Amino acid sequence: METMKDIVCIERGAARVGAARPMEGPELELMLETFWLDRLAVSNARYAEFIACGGYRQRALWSELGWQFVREHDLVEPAWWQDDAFNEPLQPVAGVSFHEAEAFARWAGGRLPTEVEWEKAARGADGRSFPWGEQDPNSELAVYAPGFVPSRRAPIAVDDLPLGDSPYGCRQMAGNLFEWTLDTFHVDTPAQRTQHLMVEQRVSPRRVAKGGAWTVGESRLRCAARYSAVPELRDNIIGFRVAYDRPPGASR
Amino acid sequence: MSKPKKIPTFFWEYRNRRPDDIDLADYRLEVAGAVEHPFIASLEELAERVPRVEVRRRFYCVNGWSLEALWSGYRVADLLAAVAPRDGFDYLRVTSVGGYEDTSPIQRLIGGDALLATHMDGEPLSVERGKPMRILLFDMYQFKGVKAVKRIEVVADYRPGFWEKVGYSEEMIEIQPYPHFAIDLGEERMPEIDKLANAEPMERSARARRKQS
Repeated sequence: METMKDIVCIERGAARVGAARPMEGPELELMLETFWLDRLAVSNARYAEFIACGGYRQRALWSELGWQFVREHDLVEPAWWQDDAFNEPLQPVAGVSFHEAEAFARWAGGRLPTEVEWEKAARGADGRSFPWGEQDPNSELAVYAPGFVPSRRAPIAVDDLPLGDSPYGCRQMAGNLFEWTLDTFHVDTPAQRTQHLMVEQRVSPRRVAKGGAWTVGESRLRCAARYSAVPELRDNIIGFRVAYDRPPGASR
Repeated sequence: MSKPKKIPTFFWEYRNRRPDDIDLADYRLEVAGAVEHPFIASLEELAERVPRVEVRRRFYCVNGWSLEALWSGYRVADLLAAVAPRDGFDYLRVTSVGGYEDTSPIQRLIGGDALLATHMDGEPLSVERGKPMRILLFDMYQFKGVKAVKRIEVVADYRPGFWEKVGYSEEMIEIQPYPHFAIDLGEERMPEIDKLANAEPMERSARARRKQS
């Protein structure tokens, strides 16, 4: 079991999710049960513990598809693990597929957040547009690409830019790296939201990624914005954080 | 008065440094592989072998932006017609001056009217944009559009390119039906790709909104 945990509690209550934009609508208020979420994106240092503990070799941590993927490609580390621009200990781990993120989450005693959980943690109960409020992004709030022209070509340390914190204290939920969520991505997922289905369960090759990254502009930093990628994507723009159904230290 | 535009560029083989400039007098394009009439040509010789075209089209980046411009250069289809690929060799491998390569099915490039562009808005491509010529794809994301093209080969085998190796698969190349930031217009626009124009989600969320209000 890993050593570091820095978790916030997001208590039962309403969440405003979605936005009246293509692929994001409708705006909706949902009730979510209490859950816990990593305050910070998973760092390389934290991910290194997972590797050191044999995370890539423990079948039990992986879904069937994930295990197939990791074996087929003989994966032992993230795609950018040896790249000096992305492998500083405090940078968020990048180049992890959805499958690797899922396995890590299981190893850490949790799971990936659903899209609406992620969105609530980022927007707070008031459903603000950005984690910090309504103000347009700037370089003190987030790492992103103004006008889609990147201001830097790699993510910063996971604990940097406190001014951009969400109402729950979650950091960098806009920019730096996208984050994997549990949901599969369908063009009609917003309609599913109206039926209060928290997780889209149908088969889709894509998973929802949230929050934006160093590569994207202002519009993609909004908490309601949705990006999607195949679960095998291991690009340097997607990381993740872990959600938990029980408070840290609680027995299972 | 139009504002000066900053255009994003990912020129991966150079990462954080400016790509080396290319001396156009020394530059030669090689078109080779399984073709009846391979050639190595200077820019002038290329213009004699293949008809030049000019098209106003928008391309899309997987990162969520798009750019419309007047592009001129050569249709990949015309280039291939000039060299006559042999039957059974279905892929085009494009290699840059810096050694970056990408392989695509020939039929897809022709079907999407891919371009080997030399000029943007009447100006020769800058180093950042892929001097002296680059592949442009308009009906899919641009990550297979090799810049600073040096060699074009007709081959039998597919070989994953740089981005495909980290998971930019067939599924990821499809332009997604959500707004992309149009660099030239400074605003978000839905993709204009025909098959996306009437995409389900806008309809559906519009219906849902009406229901709510």
